[in-house]
Amino acid sequence: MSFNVTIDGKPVSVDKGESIFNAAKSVGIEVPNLCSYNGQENGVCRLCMVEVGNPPRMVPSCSTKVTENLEIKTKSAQLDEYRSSLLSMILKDHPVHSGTDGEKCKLENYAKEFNVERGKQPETFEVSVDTSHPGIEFDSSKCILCRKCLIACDFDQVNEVISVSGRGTGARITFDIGEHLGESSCVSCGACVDSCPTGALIEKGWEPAERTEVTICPYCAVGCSVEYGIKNDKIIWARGYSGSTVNRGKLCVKGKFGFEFEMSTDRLKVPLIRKKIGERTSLGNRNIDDIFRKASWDEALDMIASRLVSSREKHGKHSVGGIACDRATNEDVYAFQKLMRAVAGSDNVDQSATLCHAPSAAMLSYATGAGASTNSMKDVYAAKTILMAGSNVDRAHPVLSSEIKRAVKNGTKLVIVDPRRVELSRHADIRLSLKPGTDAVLFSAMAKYILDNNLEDRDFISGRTENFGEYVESLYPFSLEFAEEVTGIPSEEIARVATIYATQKPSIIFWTLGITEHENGSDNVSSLINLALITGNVGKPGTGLSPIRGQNNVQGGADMGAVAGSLPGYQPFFDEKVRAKFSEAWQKELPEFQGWKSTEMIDAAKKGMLKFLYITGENSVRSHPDSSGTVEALKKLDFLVVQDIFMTETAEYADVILPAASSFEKTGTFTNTERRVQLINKIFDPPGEAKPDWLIYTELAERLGYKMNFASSSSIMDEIASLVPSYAGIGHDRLQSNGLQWPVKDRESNGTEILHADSFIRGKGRFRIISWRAKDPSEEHTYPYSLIIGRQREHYHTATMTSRSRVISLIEGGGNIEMNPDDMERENLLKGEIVEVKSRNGTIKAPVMPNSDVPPHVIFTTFHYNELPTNILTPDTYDKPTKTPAYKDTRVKIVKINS
Amino acid sequence: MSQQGELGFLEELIVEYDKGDKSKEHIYRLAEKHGLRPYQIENVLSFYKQNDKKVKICKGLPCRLKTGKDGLEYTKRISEEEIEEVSCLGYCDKAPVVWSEGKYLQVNGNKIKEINGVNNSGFKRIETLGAFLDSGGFTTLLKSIDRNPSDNVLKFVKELDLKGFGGSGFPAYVKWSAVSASPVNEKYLLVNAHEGEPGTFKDRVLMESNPFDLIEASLISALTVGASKIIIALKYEYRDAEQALRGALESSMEYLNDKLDNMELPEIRIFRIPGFYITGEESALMEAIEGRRSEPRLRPPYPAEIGLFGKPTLIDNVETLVYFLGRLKEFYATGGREAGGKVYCLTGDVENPGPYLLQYGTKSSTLVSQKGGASFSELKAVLPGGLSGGLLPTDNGSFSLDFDSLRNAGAGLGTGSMIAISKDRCMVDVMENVESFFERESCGKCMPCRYGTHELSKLFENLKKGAATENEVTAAKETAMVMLKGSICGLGQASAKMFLDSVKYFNEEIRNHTAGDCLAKTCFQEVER
Repeated sequence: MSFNVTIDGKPVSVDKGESIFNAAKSVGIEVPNLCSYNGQENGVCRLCMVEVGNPPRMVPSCSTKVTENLEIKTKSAQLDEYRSSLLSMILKDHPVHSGTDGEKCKLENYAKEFNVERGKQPETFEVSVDTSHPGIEFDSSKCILCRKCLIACDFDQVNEVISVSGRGTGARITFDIGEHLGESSCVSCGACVDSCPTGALIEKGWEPAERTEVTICPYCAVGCSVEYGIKNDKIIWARGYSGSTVNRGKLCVKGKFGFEFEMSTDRLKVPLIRKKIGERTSLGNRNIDDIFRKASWDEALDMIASRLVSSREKHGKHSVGGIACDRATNEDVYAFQKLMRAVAGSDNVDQSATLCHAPSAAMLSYATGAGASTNSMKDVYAAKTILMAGSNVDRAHPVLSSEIKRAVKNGTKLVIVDPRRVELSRHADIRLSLKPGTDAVLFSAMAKYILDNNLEDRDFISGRTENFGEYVESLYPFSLEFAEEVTGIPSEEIARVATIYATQKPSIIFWTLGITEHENGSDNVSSLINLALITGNVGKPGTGLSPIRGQNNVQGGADMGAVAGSLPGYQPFFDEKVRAKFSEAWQKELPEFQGWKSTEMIDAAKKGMLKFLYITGENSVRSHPDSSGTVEALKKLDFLVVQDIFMTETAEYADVILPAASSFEKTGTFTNTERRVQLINKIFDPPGEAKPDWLIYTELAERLGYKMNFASSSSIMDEIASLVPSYAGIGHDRLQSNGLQWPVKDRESNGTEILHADSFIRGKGRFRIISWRAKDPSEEHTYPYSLIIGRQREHYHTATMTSRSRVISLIEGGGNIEMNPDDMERENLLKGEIVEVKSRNGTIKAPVMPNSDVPPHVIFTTFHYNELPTNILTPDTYDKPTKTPAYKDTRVKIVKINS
Repeated sequence: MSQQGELGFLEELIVEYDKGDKSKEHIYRLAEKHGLRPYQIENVLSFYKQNDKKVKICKGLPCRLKTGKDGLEYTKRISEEEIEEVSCLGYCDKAPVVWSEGKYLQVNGNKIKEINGVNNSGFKRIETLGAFLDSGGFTTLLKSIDRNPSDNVLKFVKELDLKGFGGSGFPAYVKWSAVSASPVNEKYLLVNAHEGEPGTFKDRVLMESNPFDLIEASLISALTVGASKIIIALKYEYRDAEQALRGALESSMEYLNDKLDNMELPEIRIFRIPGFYITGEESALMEAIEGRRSEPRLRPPYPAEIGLFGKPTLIDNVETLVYFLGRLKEFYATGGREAGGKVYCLTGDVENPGPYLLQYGTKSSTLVSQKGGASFSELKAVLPGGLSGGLLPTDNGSFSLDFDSLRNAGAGLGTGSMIAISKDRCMVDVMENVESFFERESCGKCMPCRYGTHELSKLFENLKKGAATENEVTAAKETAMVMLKGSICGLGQASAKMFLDSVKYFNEEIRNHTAGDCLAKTCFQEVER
């Protein structure tokens, strides 16, 4: 229902329940205000008064709803006088600051606008600036207690750090219970800073920007839009872009403070060629110049081309392989797989999904026909139950976590399944701390319980699925008692969660790598999918199966076909029609054999079968399991090309290193975790001679005698659209505002928020039968701890980008081993003591810290720090179907170092 | 323990907090133990917890007026670290009053007297159920139940033209009928017993002298509007009233359950709610009951629509309910719908301060001379309705103490608490006390009130020192206009009105101060505490 009102004489139709403030905003009138937070009612500044009715009556526009035929005036002499007087009152108690503050101080700007003369001010203001945080400072004398920071922190981000302390004139903004910001539980998302109208909370060293640019954050796959302030061709600050439907102005610490890598002086700027080709040593203590020499693009590309050709001639097409970069654009990845398949003639092409969500993509594809999240992030608000499995979303995807926390505050039930007490647990209704790697048993037991108690959705099962009978039979062993024994979770808890999931519908499942990075990762994923299928929790708002993707474009990487055996758009490699389509478009025969996954390529190199490897933007030495094995494999190659924006532990072993442009230096698209294809904007030229990836591939292809025919990133997307049905309606020209969610079947389509609404993409939903095989218990005897490798909120993967941010390094500058205090006591370990962590594969040394969020017999660490190369420990054991490594459950022991 | 947003949270949190050593570690442990975020505790505790000093001196205007120029003899013996100043201790008729380690003391010069129990001026005490029943107690309730209260009582409230005695004088029928008409099943009656305005202590006296009346009145009111839950929210300091009410509640419910054959009566729960003057503001009181900072809510929505815990809520002041009961009883007996007796609290420059039960609409001169033992014409001014009912000079003669007459006179009846100001008082001195009260009591939520009360308080402080200019007085008028138009609740508006009244009636006296002249010889000197 809508109301007809007039605003400043203009007739406007406004939805019922809308505030006058928002109604005015909808016609481009910003009523003066100091406390409005994205149009939310706050109501403390009282500046947003307007006149309504006849005779006119003054009302606060933010907390007054429109009514039929309301006459609204946002400007009048009386209002001007009121606003000017109120501003004058506030300014009497507000210090005059330097000119630059005017850029940040809404109050100062209004003072000018309303011709406020500053009255007599106290000569001295009590100024105490809290500078304890590495990136943010708080000057309480500038604070007008508008409480926007409080809304930002406690209600929008739900980080719950900021409070108003005291009352009346003595009220102050404080952190936790009056801590300095840097010592508080602040997670540095910067929402308070972005919301502050007076610059009381501000980035350290903030200055006005010459221009601002909006693009997509280079970190996780939530795909936030960030507005960057730029001065002297450098990014000087970042803030969440409020025009994005994805993050609606919010960011996390990485988005807020993680941009400095772009300007880092140690960016790769020219091609480098190893002085002794094939030598294959790490840098050690030597300088880059000792090992590598600068080269021209011509020389570098010529060398790569000739080495590729000779490898192919000598060892066959299969001896050539390439790993695509998931931080690169869709266009880059598409060009890369085309280079590998059409030019090098090899299907040995993969990307980092094999190291993370490949089981999710593969099993979703098996069951539904699409290897992607079925629903959208906003479905958390439609859901009644959220099941979060194997995910520390509050660290890995903080902005999505905020949405979940908000949904939970609105009454949505939250169940968390994770061995550790992850940050989100404090918002959870139920937390199940299972033994690492036993997820499939837990979820299968839940399924059995649901079916045994007739809580399933029979219509959905009979109408929308196949294979159900076989599935039911396969559940026979998964009794509650059995599950309790295996997972360590009491039967009644399992039954309770099963009941909630099946009856408090719609229910949505989120998971990340705690599910996939196991020897039985695919089974874990399938057990979740099966749960959704029996309860009909697919295809509707608030339901769904949502693997939360890790890297900004890992979804796109797979969409673009950087997956052995899968052509762009998941089109089957061996389907004759598909092959014919691509052959014709590319004017090339496709490779005959299915290629290797990235972990298999490393194995093949070890065995001498893979000879030429082209790694783009992956720090394989640190991110693949069994680091020593990875190095050994790289050493056995005939030729290694690494393309990156920085020298990495992997690039050190390369013969040729190519300097790439970062996402700030090119155009193209990223596809986020909800299949949203978003446009990135070029803000700077690449440093030195660095080039966008796609251009490098195009030029290399040319040397190999093939014309890619790509004039620009946009023209690559046009080719993608012509060959990939789910991207058919996508073109750069259509992505200006918030992108489109695939499938976009044609140029008229506005994309798809929810997959499988009426039928599954593959037709019927397919159950996958799983089995359970317990691990060898003798292993537990020798190696009593299960090591889980995960993430910190501040860092990203091997921290090649985040470690170059000064602020982030100051917040989180080093790694350690987190261990349950009881275990530490039993092992006789002191806080901070350096210990050896040993697995069958290797040993690392690190300080050990007590953390009661880690359950007994489990230890936790990250893989962010080069001084803590955790993957030395992980074995090269894989999930069978997808060859994804088991990072989340390495058997280790702790050895005290005798001093 | 309950969680924020649940009944009883605040009281329990404060009890838990008081058990510990008040260190940060203690608060973090509390947070951990009860699954709260530290910020939630900080938000709330920093609002409610005062300094917790051993001695609290009442700074309310009635106490201020009864304190000599040299300050209180009593407090001079106590080290300054152990003393804090509070806005009102609620025993204005015993002024000057201090609170010392759990005891209320009347401290007249060297005479120190512990204040015990109830002031009996004209108030019959009903201490037992038997006595209450003997005086016809609960007959009105039983008759109302027989006569379908949702129609008949509601009609009576309209015909009686019942107005709230909590300060605003709002027509009760409007609220009662709105709640009554709401289709929502769960409704609340919130009894506002959170007085905190200097000069006002009528509700305490009423509850202490006859707690049964309030229980009977609340039950009729709740049955009338269909509220299944009654919450009596007492000022935290009202321990005696709490005890009286709890005792009365127990025996009453036993009697009524028996008498009414276990008919389901609304459930009555009594809570002592910490807080200040602002906490008595109805929406701020709901916030406090829900365990948050006691700050007024934005309206609309009004409590009758979305009140306590999001449910339709009728909020009535103690005296309003008791008065209503008396009138209903009379109506059942005689069919009359005339006004009855109202409690007028008289304090300030009179011989006999106290609560006086007089016919509604009694003349101000009658109250002052017959009860107060002073001459109305000898007064300079009165504050007819506590600190928020404005200021009236006595020049225009006596007036009736009722809502309409006072509104016509440009003031308000408020709670019906009159503070008398004698001819030899300096108005700047009085206003300094008044405006500093509002500054101290502002919750700080909205900017007009937070900045405005500070500015007005500072202005009178400076006028007293001879440090204010005429321009500042003029500028303050603009500030007051912003406060009137922009404040969320009545506190900021009251502060502004008091200032504007003082300028309207005593402009010359104020202007004299900018020129360094205080006829009362009160200002421009170091004032001792």
